[in-house]
Amino acid sequence: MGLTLAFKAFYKAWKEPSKATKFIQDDSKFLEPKLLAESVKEDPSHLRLLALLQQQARLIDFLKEDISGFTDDQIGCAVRQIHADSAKTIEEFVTIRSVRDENEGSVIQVEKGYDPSLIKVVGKVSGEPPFSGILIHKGWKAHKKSLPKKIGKQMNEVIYPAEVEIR
Amino acid sequence: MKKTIIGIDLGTTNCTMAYCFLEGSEKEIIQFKIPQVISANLQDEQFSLPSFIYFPLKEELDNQVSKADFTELTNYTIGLFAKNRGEELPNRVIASAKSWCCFSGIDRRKRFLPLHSDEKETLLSPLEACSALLKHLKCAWDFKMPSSAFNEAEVLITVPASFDPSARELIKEAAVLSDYPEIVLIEEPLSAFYAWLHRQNDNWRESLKVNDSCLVVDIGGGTTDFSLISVENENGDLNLKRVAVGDHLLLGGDNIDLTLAYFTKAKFEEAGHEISDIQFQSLIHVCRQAKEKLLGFDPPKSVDITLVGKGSKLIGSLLKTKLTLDEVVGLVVDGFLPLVGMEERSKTVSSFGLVEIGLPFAKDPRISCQLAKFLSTCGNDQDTSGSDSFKLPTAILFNGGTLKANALRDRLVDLLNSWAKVLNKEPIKVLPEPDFDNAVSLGAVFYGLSRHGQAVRVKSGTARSYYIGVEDSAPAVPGIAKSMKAFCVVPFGMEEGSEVELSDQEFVLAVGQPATFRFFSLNTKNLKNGSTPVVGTVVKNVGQELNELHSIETTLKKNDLGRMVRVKLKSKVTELGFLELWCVADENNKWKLEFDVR
Repeated sequence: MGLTLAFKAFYKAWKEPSKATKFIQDDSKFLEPKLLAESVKEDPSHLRLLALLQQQARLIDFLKEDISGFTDDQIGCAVRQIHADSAKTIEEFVTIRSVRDENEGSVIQVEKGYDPSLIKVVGKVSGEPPFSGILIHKGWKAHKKSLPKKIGKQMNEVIYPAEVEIR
Repeated sequence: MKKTIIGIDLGTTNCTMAYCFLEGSEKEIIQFKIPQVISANLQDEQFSLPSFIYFPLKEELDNQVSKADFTELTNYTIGLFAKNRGEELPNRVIASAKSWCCFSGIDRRKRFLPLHSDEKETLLSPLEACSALLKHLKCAWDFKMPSSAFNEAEVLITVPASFDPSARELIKEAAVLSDYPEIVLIEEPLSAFYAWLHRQNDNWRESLKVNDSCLVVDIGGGTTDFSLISVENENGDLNLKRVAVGDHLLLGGDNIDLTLAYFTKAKFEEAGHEISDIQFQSLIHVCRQAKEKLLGFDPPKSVDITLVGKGSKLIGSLLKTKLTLDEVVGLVVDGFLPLVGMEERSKTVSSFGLVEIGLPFAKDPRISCQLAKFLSTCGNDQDTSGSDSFKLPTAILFNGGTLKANALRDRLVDLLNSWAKVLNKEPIKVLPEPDFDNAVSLGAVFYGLSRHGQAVRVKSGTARSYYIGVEDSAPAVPGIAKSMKAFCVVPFGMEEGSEVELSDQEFVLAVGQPATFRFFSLNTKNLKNGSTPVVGTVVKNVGQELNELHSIETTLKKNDLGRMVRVKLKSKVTELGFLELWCVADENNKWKLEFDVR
């Protein structure tokens, strides 16, 4: 392993002598990007949302299950409940509303200086706004910006604990 | 002068809290979002705090799975997590703490909750359990509103209308245990009525006229309460007066969910599937959702009931059945609110000789009959219909989460209208209430404003008359217990802030030795012979006429007047809603009789 690595390093230094010089001169600078990457703080909020969706709607159970063997009827039946429970959870913790209130298909105005994160213009665009266009998708926007507060010492990566019934 | 008014609905299944700042001209009443642990390791805030107290397992405690960051470290947790986890570990959760507090069949200071717990050292008494709920609300407030301390606010707590004086004292004691400031009590249905008044912006006179009466029906998760408020003419002014309250019935939305769950369980079992206890808990949830759809606005013909297995395989273990609209209407609407005649009243059934320890749940689930029974006690001599004192209200106000179901509200209106038709009266008017969950705490705040003269007041005297037992002075006869009669010490409808005295009657009070005092109450305005008891009225047929409350055994402090002191009885209803009874010898020698032992 050590020998292979040394050969690789030798090959690299031979190909890119400038980097090799840098490496010899100041190795601390060279290591910096790696250290930075390591110190990026873990953000487990996606896992907490998944945990909530599993807890309240069994969504992970559904996604992890092999559904190829079931009939559309069986799947449809399960989906109704999962859909209702997931929608409720998302409503409670994310509260999604449409970006635009107009009906899809209606003509709307896009003003000058519009926020491109709220509106995406597609099609034949020429010249400066204001534009007049047809609303294809009304967009979605979250109205809750953070999940409930985490308390205690639970492991972040646990989405659902194993359940054991004591008889 | 206080700067904040806080109203607390200390509910049997959910607590809510509202507040209002007295400074500034716009006195807006705001619903408080209560922080709490909502699931393992998550804290959030919600308008309602489920009134459940869960005792986590040791490992859960060690890992602080449910320690909210604003509460003191305790061996229990309160709120949504407690409620949900309690379904999985039923022996570790206290539910209905408030109902235990008003159940006179047990010692409410004895530590025995959760009822079937194995861990004797962590038990709480009903008193402590109520105190824990109040403590959570106080900590939540101080955590979120650091600039206006809870203890400097005026705090109002709502109680069921039929709470007897000892249960009221107990709530006061629970508040003291949680370091509350002095509290004011208000009855829940009355509070809901105050919420309605608040929304009318002083225009209530357009909806209610002289001689109108409004029935408040409050059906929550576990309890049902009725109250009647009448509009009276006093020197040309319209006055509101709460004239009657019903018993606190342990019957509510949970009974409905349970009924549907048993029904669907039987359906699954007929199809050859076994439903485990744990699955049954999920079935109750699914049935509750189905109920909301089927009894709501524009209901579907049927709702699919799907029960997924507890394991990670979801679709493979799926069970499915249907709950139809007809079935739900038959079971729930006709079962709990049948269209009955007004003569069909719930009976006061005598208990079994032996029953399992538990809450005194209502024996007759027909709310219609409970309502007929209540209204039959409401009338007075002028407006009776037929032989008894049945009084039909002219308006109705709904409250409580269970009445969010359209079908149930419609049925109650149909029921009252069917009685109105028989009596040749106008159909009943429905007063609008937009928020069935939070009206009680909001109304409590409005009552607080009213106490400061900043809102209309509903007069509400005592809803019962109260009696004290006095031993007859008669020659002793071997083998026969000395007979007893009861003196009325608090008449029906005695108002807050007033005092009465039995001025022409003296009694002999035993002090400096253990003595037993017996108290009684009468739910109706009149005695069986039709007379209305006043202060000093003597009731001889105590057993037939009155209900006995907690009797107390106590030793009153002896002073230099000797062991037997001649006293007069004086009673007082305080401004805060508490009842006091005093034995007065003279200015310097008086004894307060507590309605409950301390």
